[in-house]
Amino acid sequence: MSLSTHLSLVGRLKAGGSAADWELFYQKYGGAITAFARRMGCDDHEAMDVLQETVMVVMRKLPNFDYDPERGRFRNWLLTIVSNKAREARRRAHVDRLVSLDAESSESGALHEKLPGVETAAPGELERNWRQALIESALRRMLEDPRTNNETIEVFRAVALEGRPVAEVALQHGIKENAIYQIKNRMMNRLQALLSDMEQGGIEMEA
Amino acid sequence: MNPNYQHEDASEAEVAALSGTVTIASVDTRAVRERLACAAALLSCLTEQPSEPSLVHQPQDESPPRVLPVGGELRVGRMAGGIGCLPDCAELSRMHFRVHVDKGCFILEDLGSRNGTRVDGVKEPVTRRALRDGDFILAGGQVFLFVNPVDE
Repeated sequence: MSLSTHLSLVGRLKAGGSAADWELFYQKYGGAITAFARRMGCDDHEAMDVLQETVMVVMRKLPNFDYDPERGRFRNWLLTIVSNKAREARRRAHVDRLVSLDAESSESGALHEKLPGVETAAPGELERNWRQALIESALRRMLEDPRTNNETIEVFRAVALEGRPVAEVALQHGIKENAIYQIKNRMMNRLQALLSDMEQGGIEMEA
Repeated sequence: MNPNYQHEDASEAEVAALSGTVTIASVDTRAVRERLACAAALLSCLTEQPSEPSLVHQPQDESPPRVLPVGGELRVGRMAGGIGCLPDCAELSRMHFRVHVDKGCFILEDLGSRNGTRVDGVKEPVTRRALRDGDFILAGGQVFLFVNPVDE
C-alpha cells in the first residue's frame, strides 16, 4: 500500500488532491451539498451554484484547514460553507428579481422583505437539514451502487423507505421474512458506514 | 452549530421519513465539475492567488494568466482603459463588458458588444447577470474566470 492510501481524503485534498481525489469528494459530498441547498429553498439551478461556490471555497481554504477527524470538524466546517453559499444563492436570486423588476417598475417593495429559508434558519434547523441531506445522499449512493443486486434494492426500498409490511414484501419476492430482515439490516449497516464516512471527512482507507 | 458534534447512526425512522419528503434522484453535476476542474487548473498557473474579487484572464497564447481586480467596476475591451484594456484581442469589442457591484452582488453587463458575452458555456449571450464564484466568462474569444475570495 502506498503512503497516499494511508491519508484521508481530506488530507489528500489539503495537499492539492488529484483528479481522482476530487472525483471522490464529489461522490461523497456533491449530492449532499445539492440536497441541502434544495432543503434550504434553492431550486435545482441555484443548488448547482451552491455546489460550484462551495467547491471554490474548499479549494482555496482547505490547505489551511486544521483537520481533526475525531471531533467531526470537517463536517462542521463544510456545513458552515454550504449554508453561507445557500444563503448567498437565495439572496442573489432575490437581487436578480429586484434588478429585473427595477428595470420594469419601481413597485418592487414587496421583494425587499426578508427571505424565507436560509435567511431565517436557526442553527438547529441547518443541522437537521444537513443531516437529512447526508442521509439522502448516502441512500442514493447505496441504491445506485452497481454491486447491489436489484432485488436487494427493491426489498430495501419497500420495507425501509415505503414502510410496507415485511410479510407482504416476502410474499411478493418469494423469500422468507427472516431474509427480508437480514437484507434490511445489511443495507442499514452499509448506510451507517457511508454516513459515518461522510460525517467525518473520509477517514477510512481508500486504497 | 454544535462544535462538539458526534456522529450518530441514522435511525430507521430517519430513513423512512425521507421517502415522504424527497425524491431520491440524482442531479447531474458533470458540467459544474468540469468547470471547477478548469478553474483549478487555471488558478494553479498563478504564482499568487487573488485576494479580492477578480477576473482571471486566460490568454489564448502561451503567456501566463493575468489577474484583473474588479474593484468598484471593471470594464473590459480593446479600448476599455485601465487594467481591463486588452488591445491585442481582436475579437473583443472596444467596450465589451463590465463587472460592477449592485445590491451586494457582482453583476456582469454586456456593453453592446458585437459578438456578445457568454457565461459558463451557455450559447445564449447575456446582457446582465449576477456572477457566481467560479463562473467562466467568454467574450470575443477570450476566457475570464470570476473569483470572489472575500467574506469566507
